[in-house]
Amino acid sequence: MKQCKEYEDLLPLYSSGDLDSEKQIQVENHLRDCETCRQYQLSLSAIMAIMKQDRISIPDSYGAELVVALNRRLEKRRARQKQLLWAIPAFTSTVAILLITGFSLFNPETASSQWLAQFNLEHSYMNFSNVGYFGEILLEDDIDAVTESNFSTDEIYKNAVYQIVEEQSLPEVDRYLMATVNLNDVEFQNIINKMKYEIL
Amino acid sequence: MLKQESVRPPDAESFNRLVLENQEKIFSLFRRMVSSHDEADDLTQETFIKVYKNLSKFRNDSSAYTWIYRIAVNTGLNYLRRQKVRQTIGLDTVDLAADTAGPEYRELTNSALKKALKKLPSKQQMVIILRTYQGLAFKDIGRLMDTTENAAKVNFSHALKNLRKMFEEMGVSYETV
Repeated sequence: MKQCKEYEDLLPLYSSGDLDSEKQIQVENHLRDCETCRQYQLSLSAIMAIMKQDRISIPDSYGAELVVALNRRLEKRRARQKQLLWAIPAFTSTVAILLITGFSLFNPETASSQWLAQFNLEHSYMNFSNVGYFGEILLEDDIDAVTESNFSTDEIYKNAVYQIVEEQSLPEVDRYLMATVNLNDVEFQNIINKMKYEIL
Repeated sequence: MLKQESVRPPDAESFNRLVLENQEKIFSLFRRMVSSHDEADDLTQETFIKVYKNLSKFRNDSSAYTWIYRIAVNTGLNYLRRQKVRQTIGLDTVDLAADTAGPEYRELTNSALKKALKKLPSKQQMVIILRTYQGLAFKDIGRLMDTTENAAKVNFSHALKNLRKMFEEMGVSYETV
């Protein structure tokens, strides 16, 4: 014969109506004889009842509002995707140049503040907002979360460069996002290989 | 239930239809977890953005509804885990002087319930919500949470017993329920 402890484990499922008929009969027989378990079961059923009484209301307009909000976010996303293809060359070349600059700084024989000043002057035409955008895609799984975060473009860009230079690895690329700009697997891999070749 | 064909290609119209057909279940799932409409809305949007991003990965071996639900459950569990790290909610004693037959008492028990639910471990909280509020079978809950039907039942049992214990600590009376 089962002890009260074993019935105690069955009572939550009895209270939610999830016991098979055989176990249900066993529990009911026990409840007839055991006041302690009966009280325990009543309290569990009462909690179930409290939960079922607790209703939430969803405004009728919620579905339509959600669709509008989502489409707005996706439209922003698509607009960014359109910039992606022409942002890639700017990103790769700029990172490569910065990588060289970074190594120069660490190497006392080649480091030269004069050279750096000259370099910055020569490359001041580069559009950092584009490379920042690509860095955004590289670094974050959820592009929208980043876009709506407080990170500045420069910060995102610096993080991308930091990861490439310091960790000698490419940040994770959102393959789905790349796919949505009509890159097939081969084209995608070519871009990655090109980046590896140029940057590392 | 939607078939795979209805979600491909990922054009705006089919995506909007997916949102409209599933938003109520997904929003109500999150609304049980959080304190405000806005928080539930954030999680609902997060779920559907993930759905959009992964439409190409959707396979025919499950319905769109199950697939979206699975993404929502994962989003919810991640949210709950983050919250558990931050929160230090105490359990206040319920004012038993309130009229136990009146709406005020019901409000108090509902408030106690929300506090107690938040104190449950993430998986227990999720199982309680999916079984009690969403009305899912344990077999489906197990599938959604990447676990077995039996494990889902065990989590549910622990959750209900834990809720009872917390209700006792808060001094909730069951007499009029």
